Amino acid sequence: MPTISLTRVANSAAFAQSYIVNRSVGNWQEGGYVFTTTSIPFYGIVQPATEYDLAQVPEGDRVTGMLGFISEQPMYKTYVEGSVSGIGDQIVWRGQNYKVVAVVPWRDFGFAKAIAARLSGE
Amino acid sequence: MSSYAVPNVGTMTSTGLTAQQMSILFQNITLQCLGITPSGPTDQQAYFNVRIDWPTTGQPAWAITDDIAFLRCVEVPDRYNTAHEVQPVTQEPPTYPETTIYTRIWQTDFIFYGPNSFDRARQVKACLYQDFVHAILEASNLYLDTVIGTPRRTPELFQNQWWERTGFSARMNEQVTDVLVKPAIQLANIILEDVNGIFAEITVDL
Repeated sequence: MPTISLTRVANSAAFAQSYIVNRSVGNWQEGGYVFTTTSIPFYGIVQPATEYDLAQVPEGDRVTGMLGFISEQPMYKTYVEGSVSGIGDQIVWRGQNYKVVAVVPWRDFGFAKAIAARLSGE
Repeated sequence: MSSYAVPNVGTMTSTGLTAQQMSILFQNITLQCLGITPSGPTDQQAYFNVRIDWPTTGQPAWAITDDIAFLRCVEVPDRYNTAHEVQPVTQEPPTYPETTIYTRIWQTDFIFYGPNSFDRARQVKACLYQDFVHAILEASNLYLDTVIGTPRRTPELFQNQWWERTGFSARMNEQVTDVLVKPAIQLANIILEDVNGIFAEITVDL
């Protein structure tokens, strides 16, 4: 096991800020997958993963982009663990929703990192 | 049955099914064909086995050992869905319904994953010919095209393993009835005019 922990960096007030993680649990029902969400306060580092791009399509201008979130607490992409399942965490930061699309396995070093895609196209 | 107001015209009512209604119909038919009886609409043990494609927010995946069916319901082009029949008006004013009847062609894609996917595709295809399925479909104005596609076994390479996969498609005709209730003409004003101006006005009560 690694002997260094970067938890203190992830929680450093010089880098970190607050955001909300909406975590879901669901199951399959008539009509599809139905889930409920719980809002969890998080504290950690928010950093750009890609630029915010503008896609100019005939129907209008659509914005895409991704952010990286670092925290002491784990974040989840869409998962199934035994009989429990849920879709990927949705993170709310500065009024925008982001869906976790990748989790980088840094837990052995005391922090979690997730890449999340901006959900709104506006 | 959907209903909405058409501004300045009247109220439109349609029997046309939504994609979600079609999906639920075939989700339950597929479960029945596989011998699975849900205890209710929230029975996770049952509905886990038959899933609907394209959920807005995504849905969790499945294991290589799970036998899961996936459904896609889409409308497809066909010469048969180009004819629209407008029924003669039989109702008296103040409103009258303009009834239009036409056929839509749906295609449902059945995609089976899992070790038993090939046989489950055969099972469901054979089941679609049964009378009880026809009765369920007829209750929703659906009529099966009896030429059903052949199940094709096409295992899929995913994460360095070949996942068993078999799919086939079935088509059905949906009879759709649209009724647009419009205001009828109740009075006709006739104005007679010559070079000297209006010389008569007649109102005809219809």
